[in-house]
Amino acid sequence: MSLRRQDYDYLIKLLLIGDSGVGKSCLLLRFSEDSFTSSFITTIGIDFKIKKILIDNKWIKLQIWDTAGQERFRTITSAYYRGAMGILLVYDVTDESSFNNIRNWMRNIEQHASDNVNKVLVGNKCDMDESKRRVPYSQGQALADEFGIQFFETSAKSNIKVDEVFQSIAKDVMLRLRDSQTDSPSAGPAGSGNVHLNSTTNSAKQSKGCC
Amino acid sequence: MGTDISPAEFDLIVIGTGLQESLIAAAASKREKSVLHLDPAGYYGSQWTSFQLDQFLDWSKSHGCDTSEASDNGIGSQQTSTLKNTAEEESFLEVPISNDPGTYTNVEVQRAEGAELGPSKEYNIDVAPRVVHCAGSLINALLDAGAQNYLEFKLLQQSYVWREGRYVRVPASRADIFKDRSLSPVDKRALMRFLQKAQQSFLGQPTGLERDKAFVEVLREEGLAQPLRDVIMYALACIPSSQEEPGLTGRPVSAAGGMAALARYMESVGRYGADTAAFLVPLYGGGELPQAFCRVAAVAGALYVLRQPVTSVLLHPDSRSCAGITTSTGQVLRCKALATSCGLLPPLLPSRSAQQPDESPDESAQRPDESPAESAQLPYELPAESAQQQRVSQAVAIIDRPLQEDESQVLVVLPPGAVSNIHPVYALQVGPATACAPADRYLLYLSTPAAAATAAQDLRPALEALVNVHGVDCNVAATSTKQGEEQSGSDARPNALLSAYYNRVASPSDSALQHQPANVAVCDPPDASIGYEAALQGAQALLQRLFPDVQGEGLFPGGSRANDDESDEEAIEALSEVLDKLGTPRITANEAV
Repeated sequence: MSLRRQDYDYLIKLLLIGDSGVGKSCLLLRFSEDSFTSSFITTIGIDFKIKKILIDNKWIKLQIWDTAGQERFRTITSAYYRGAMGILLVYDVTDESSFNNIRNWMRNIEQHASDNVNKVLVGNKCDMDESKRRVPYSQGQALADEFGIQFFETSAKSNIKVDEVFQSIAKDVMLRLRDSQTDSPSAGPAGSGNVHLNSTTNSAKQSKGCC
Repeated sequence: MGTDISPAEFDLIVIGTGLQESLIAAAASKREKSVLHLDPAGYYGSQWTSFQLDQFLDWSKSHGCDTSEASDNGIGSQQTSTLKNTAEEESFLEVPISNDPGTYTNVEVQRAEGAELGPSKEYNIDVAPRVVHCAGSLINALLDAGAQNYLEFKLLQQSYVWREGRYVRVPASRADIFKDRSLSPVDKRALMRFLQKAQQSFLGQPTGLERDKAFVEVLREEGLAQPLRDVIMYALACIPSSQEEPGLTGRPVSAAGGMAALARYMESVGRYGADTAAFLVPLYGGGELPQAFCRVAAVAGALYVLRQPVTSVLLHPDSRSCAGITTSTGQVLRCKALATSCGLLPPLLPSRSAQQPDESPDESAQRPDESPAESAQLPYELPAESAQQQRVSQAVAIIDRPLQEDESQVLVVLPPGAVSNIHPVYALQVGPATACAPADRYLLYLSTPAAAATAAQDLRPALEALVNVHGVDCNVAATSTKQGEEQSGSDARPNALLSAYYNRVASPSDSALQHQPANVAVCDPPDASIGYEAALQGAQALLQRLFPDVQGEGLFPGGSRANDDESDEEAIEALSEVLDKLGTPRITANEAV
């Protein structure tokens, strides 16, 4: 990737995946803007957010993409998964079907994302009263163990473990990228010479003048 | 799924997720119209999609047994309108619609025995392959819609013309023209003179160029020999059909049209980096393009439902304008406007008496046997002219190395007659560098307007000229492995491990729009060209049909390129710059100084 102004060491693309209403957008807004609103009915308008974090003395620029509501009828575009390095699989601890659907989302990921993408399982809304909880912590942990991935229970509302989730997945991705810097798998495409429309339009305009 | 769609009323319902459908959904959604975007299929892109290898093979199988004509898709054969009463006690004319546009015919797939194709999911095989002009309307639409972050592209590395059995680089710069050994000094002079004239015509200077005259005629009068005409018409202007006898059918492209296409090419050259590249190809295939606009629409609030067949369209009985649809789950969804992929809707208006509202819709619809009123029967007959829809012959081959060493993305133009072909054949190669094939595998797409009975007849000679297809020929399949191992070093052609041929519909039926209510838009299938220009222009026209209030606006207003006049000026300015570089004849250069 051609990085003109290198103000970070790694650019990492993360995705949020999971059923409608589990709090994906809220997690994203809590992490990127430290804000929370309970009035989201369904995702409108959140495309992606950028946040820079420091891990092991490396600046990591996170580009975190939201589903834009296309998860509602399981119609996430295959394009959404392109180039994803890490995926947060989110369910709602008070909604059992959102937990059961994690396996479906996992299949979706296997079909469309690259094989080595890092994943983390997130049970959101852990601030809710225990009487409303439908998925015990141990069940989430067991599923995560089965997939061989990390597990967190979070609350975007009460700001519990939100930073930790993003830090964790970002670090996993960073370590993987560092270990496999040369072989860049699946990755003719991630290689050099890719044209990004926004960056090159300007340079094209500039070059017009000089020749 | 059982989940009902809510709300149940929208400004716009779009059926099908092809490029025009997605552009319209995004453009409407960005204008704060409420949009429901459905697709009967489980994938995005409709006739513009890219398939993984397994999906492609399944798709070809599902069309393989169907050898019927494209028009035989059920529409018109058993259509009857009935009355539908909704909960609000309104009554509508209910017209059944198809969920299979029946676009593909003559599908043939041949696979080399024991060929290692690699992981299926690393393939992205375009059903209607094409290239993106760097300075074309598609790029502008992506920028204006804010979709530039959704996609990455690679530049096409080189264009070739296939001449007398070998690859000839398409001259893209003044230096190229001078270096080109195939050009005589006379040719070079004629080419320079023509390009100067082209430049003048865009600067509005008198050139004696008649805009309505055939482009090919202008080229002839300029003293340009056949090989040069081929380069200009097919490799630079990308005109998809033969412009000269014996292949010429219909009206040839006008001088104005040819010059505009030439301008688009010239402006595209060098816009994104390398100074000779005019075209881009998207990573992961062309199917990413409609998906990008679907995301634009979704971010703006459009609702997406795939795997959702639609069984009927509801019409207001009096005006016959579209009032809504019924889904396969029986849900009625109301809309103010409807856009669909081509081939799904029968003509909704009476073919003869479009202006006459049916005076007694209830009666005729309730008792069709007793009162075969003309107006009740006429509307849903398939018009005869739709049998003459334009078709394109396509081929795709998986090959084991690139056509030219170290060149992953190339375009080869086989002008009419190059391999006994009637129309130009466009051969586009993409590979692992654009994430369209696994490592050491490449895709070679061939397209040409259909002339023979089947795509295989149209394209086999072209494919055999470029690649070694022995391994996949059915007749020699049994011995293919041995032949493959002992392949002579003199054959530099890559081997085809799999090849597929098919015909697809490339133009809407003549009745697609004229027999539809004003609030219904039928989108075009991918056209016969190798670019996106027609699709983008068509989408804009359809958007304005559905929403007359957007008249005079671009697809995505507010973008930097919304103003058409401005971009025209830019185009002309850029063209004259490029033409300057390409070569103003010495004499004029002196005069200018």
